[in-house]
Amino acid sequence: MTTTPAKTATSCELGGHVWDLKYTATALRHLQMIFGSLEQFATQLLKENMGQGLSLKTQAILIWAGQKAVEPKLRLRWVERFLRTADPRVRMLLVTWATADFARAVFELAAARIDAANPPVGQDDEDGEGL
Amino acid sequence: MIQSHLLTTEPSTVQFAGSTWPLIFDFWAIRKLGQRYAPEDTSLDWLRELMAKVAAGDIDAMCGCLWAGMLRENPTLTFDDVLALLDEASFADLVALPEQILAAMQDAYGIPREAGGTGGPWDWEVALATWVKEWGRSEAEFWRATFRTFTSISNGLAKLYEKASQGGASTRAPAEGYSLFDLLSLRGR
Repeated sequence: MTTTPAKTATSCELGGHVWDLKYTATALRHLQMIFGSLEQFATQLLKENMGQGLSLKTQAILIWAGQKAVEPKLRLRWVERFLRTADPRVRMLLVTWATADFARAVFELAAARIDAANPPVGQDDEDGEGL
Repeated sequence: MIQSHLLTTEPSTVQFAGSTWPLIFDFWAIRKLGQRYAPEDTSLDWLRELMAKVAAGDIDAMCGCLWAGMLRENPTLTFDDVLALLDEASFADLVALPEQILAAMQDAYGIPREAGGTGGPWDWEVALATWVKEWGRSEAEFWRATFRTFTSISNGLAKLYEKASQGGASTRAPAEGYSLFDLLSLRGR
């Protein structure tokens, strides 16, 4: 069972800005274009202490991509500046949130792929009845 | 024998975000895709690469193909409009889309193949007649759209183009055995 991406995010005010990170098609497209494999990027984020160990630029891209669906005109530079000047606890929360939601999207995609590759057993039975 | 989806207005369909969406992959769609993904290319390798990206689940490629396929019925649709539609798609939709898009493209354009493989069939007479009579376009434009540039046809089928351009195109062109991929990438058999 997979969830709809649009329903996985909630908005939250952090550092005086309302964030509503959504890792739907818009965000995944940006991240795919920049980092290539979504799975590898998710693995990298998880290995680097939920994204905390990555560069500010990479963290900014992750957050910028997640916010683009609700703020299409948001500029990456603005997010970089926000992270650089924000309270370190705000930055940590935002990066962890973004990493968790993005990783969930990647896991959900993987689950959907497994579902597609392994159709329910009942469907095979029905196919077999005609033989 | 004839690539019916290419030559008629009957669309293929894809399903996502709770709706069924019609896709028409015609010359217009392929030109729009070319303008977006390979404005400088004279071969059709980019289309093979694009279809490979779709197969691998690349969202930009999927979105581009959906956009091009939807254009015929919604000429004002933008790439970002389609991306917004995809934002409403479930993860299961995103996983199922590549196969649906590729099936629709292959219905229209034939199967991209390596040298020595086999593609789908093609009927020049019907294609040209449809282009001119149904779509109200000129024959010269047909040849331009089909072959893209003279440079791209200089490697094997130039003679065919030459004959076809000299009038009586539909009778001089091969009647069958060519897919659009063959035509546009000029890999004759």
